[in-house]
Amino acid sequence: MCGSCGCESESLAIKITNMAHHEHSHPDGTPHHHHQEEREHTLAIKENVMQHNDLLAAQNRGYLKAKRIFTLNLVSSPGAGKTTLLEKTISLLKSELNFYVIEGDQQTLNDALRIEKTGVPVVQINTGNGCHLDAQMVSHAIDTLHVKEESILVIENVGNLVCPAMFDLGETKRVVIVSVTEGEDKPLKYPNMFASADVCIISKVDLLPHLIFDFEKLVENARKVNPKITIIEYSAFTHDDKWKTWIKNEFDTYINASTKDTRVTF
Amino acid sequence: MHEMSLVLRIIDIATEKALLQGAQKISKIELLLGDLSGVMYESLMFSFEIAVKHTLLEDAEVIVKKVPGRGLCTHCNHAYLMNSLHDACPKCSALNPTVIQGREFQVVSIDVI
Repeated sequence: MCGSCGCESESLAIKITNMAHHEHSHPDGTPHHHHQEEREHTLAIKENVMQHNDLLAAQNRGYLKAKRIFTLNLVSSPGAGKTTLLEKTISLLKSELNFYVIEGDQQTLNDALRIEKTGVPVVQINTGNGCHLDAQMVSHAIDTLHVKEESILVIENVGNLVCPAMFDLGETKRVVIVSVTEGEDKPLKYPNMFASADVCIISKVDLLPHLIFDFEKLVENARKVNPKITIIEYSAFTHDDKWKTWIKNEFDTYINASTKDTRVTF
Repeated sequence: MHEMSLVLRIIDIATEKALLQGAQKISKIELLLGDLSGVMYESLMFSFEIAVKHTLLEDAEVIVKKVPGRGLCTHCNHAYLMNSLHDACPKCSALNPTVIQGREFQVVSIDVI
């Protein structure tokens, strides 16, 4: 606050080149100068801590939309079957769709190497001690991959149901995967993640005959936390193609919506 | 682990603004932390202690203003206090209210010298 007149300085929005002075106007518009003394004073910031990531995510989203790149953010606990699902999905659909993959793990190239065997372009991000991917990492990865227009980009996030919920990456759809060995109450335990997801894949359903598991209860809990969530059963080892069908439909809808003639006629 | 990366971001925000003003040191930082933000206060403070070393915030007083969660029931329009994101309406038991308060996580201001 200005010590002379008590008005709030707006100078945070303006880059100051001369550090000894700053200039601002009185409410009546009269400008004045005064010396910035070496005294304690308060600077208003009011910046959302997530703003930086949200802006980068919005940038990613804009770029991906412009290039008509259908982008999925796959999230789950470690071991729910993300990489296997991705390997199988790519094998089934790569003749119809151009896949690009971003892998996220704390360490190792293991998942990227698995995806590489399917023959599609993939880049691995190692977060070190980090527990989630963020929009900046994804932005760099997209640049590295040189993703072509009208492709499908799949981001396999770090296995973690907590932190990735907070970090928008700029994806088109967020897909949370929960396996039948994880318990019916998973959505209630991790509500932020399930609430932020568009789709919930229930994986490893081929194991159901060996488990005491209430499938309907899991579905009910997911819908409690997110009434709009789409639920898809999945097994990497059966020929059920609900997930494959979803991808194809969503991709087609996305491409058709993006290529609609948006010119305004008068 | 997670709160640490958020604290590093807070330090970046504060340092950037302080340096723009030619400040030498930050003596105080005020944060807004909603009860429904998903950020744990204790982990945040713990991470702060470690992360501010050798930064402009090293000796800064950290003030955290907590914001209680409030939801607006989409069924009966009742506004109520929420401790978690999926607290049901106490009047009609409906779930998934519109959250009207409590998700804040903001650097409000810094005091600089």
